[in-house]
Amino acid sequence: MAFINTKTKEVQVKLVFVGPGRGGKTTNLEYIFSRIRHRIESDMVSIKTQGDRTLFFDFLPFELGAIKGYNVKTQLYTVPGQVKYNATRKLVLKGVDGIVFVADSMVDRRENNISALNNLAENLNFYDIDITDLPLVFQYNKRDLATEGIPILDVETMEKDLNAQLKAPSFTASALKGDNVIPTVKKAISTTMVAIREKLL
Amino acid sequence: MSYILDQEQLDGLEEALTTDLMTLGIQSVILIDMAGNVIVNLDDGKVRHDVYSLAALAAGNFGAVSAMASIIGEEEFSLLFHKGKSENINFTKIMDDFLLVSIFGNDVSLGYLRLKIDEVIKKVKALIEKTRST
Amino acid sequence: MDKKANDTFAFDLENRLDDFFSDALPPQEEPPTDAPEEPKTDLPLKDLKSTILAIDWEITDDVLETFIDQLDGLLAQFEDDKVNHTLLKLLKSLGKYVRAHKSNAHPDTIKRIMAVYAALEESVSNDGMSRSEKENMLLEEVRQFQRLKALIIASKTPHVASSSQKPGSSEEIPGIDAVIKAIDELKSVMAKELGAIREELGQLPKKSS
Repeated sequence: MAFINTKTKEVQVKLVFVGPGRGGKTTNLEYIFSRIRHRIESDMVSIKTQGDRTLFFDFLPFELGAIKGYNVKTQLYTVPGQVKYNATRKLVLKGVDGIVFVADSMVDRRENNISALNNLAENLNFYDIDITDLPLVFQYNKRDLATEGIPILDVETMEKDLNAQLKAPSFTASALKGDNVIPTVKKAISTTMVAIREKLL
Repeated sequence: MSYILDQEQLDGLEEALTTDLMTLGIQSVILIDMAGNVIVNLDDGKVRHDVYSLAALAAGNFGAVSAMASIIGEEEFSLLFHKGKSENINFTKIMDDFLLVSIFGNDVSLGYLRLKIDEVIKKVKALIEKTRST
Repeated sequence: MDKKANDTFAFDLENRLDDFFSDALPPQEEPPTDAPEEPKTDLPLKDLKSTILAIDWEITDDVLETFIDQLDGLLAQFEDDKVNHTLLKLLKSLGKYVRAHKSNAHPDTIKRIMAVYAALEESVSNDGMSRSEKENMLLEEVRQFQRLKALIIASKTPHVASSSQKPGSSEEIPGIDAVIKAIDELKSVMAKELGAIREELGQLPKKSS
């Protein structure tokens, strides 16, 4: 739920990167952080296991500055993707304003993508949020694996699996290489901000 | 760091935790690893909550608080304790990989519980370290 | 809803996002600020209270040493007030017991310490309390103290007990003087027991840690 200070005209939005375990959510944030770290004050916070699996969340806040009189602050979060961390995942989703769904393009992760999306819808439901009402952007990650000879799903299949009803904006990407990571998050921020501002006016 | 605990060690852990802590009349004691996996779960028989979610959240919580400690320049906090109206939770780190979560009522003094925990940790460490030497 | 305003907002936002994610100037640092000092207050039990609160959270040798030192100071201060003096003596007895036994102390000991302290605080700060009310409060605390002592003795092995039960004074307590005498007797009994336990411990085979 966006934090809005009508007096100071400050708007703070929470964007959460969701998706199956090891899909690239944390990698997305790490790449974004590497690109903007010289212009932001805070560090990225990562609460993870010794095996580098997200345990609680990754967190990256930054200010975009004043836009049309509104001071826009963004908070990016990732959730743990492993199934056993559902209670934690639900917690991190509290107050979410927009979602980036990071899907894993690997063929054998197809089912995991679908169940992660269903799980997201369930968790949002817990907060009385309909997934169709929430600003959402899809990222079909790990496209770079094709060049290494690892079989990946084609985009049409992924769109059909995940985006047939939502018809949300989607991007193919390689978070590891940084391809399309920034465009994904820019789109997510802008759709979220516009949706909030519509509610405000 | 991966570890394998055999039945003998698990039994030993259960016994130590039962004798030293559960006999104080507390609600439950859970030994977990830092990834939120449950190793030993003991309670007073009246517990109905979801231990697995509790364990995952406990690990996440501890991780978050450790991150906070770093931010303020502390290596770690020596006390992580949440006070409820009738039940309280205390977290104690054991070595670098484990967490002891104790849930207890107001009839047990925290200071005294911590004394008992300090004692039982020695036994827990000894039992777990047995595996690493084999 | 002003769609046009929203469109221009979106446009500006897009531009801002483009700028933000391109390379630009680094941010400036802010200087640190000093924390303000806290004012001190004057209450006779202030330091003791602080130690009691610390004991509630964590029991260490340092805190127990401080506890007993503070009690010694207060004992001198309240020499002429029999109720407060006795309550302080109870606290000192309990404190020394915890210091000697630590995690082997009876689980109810800390509760007792908190209760006796609460009584002491009441007695010291409540001017509205009558002399007899204070004495009754003290008698109750003594009763509870003796109950705990009986529990502790009961949980020990037989040969340790120079455990003569309180001669009658646990039942009829005619006055404060008798109570104080009883406390002194208790203390010497406990001291004997502690000595016996130490001896016992010294005879146990050493364990490696």
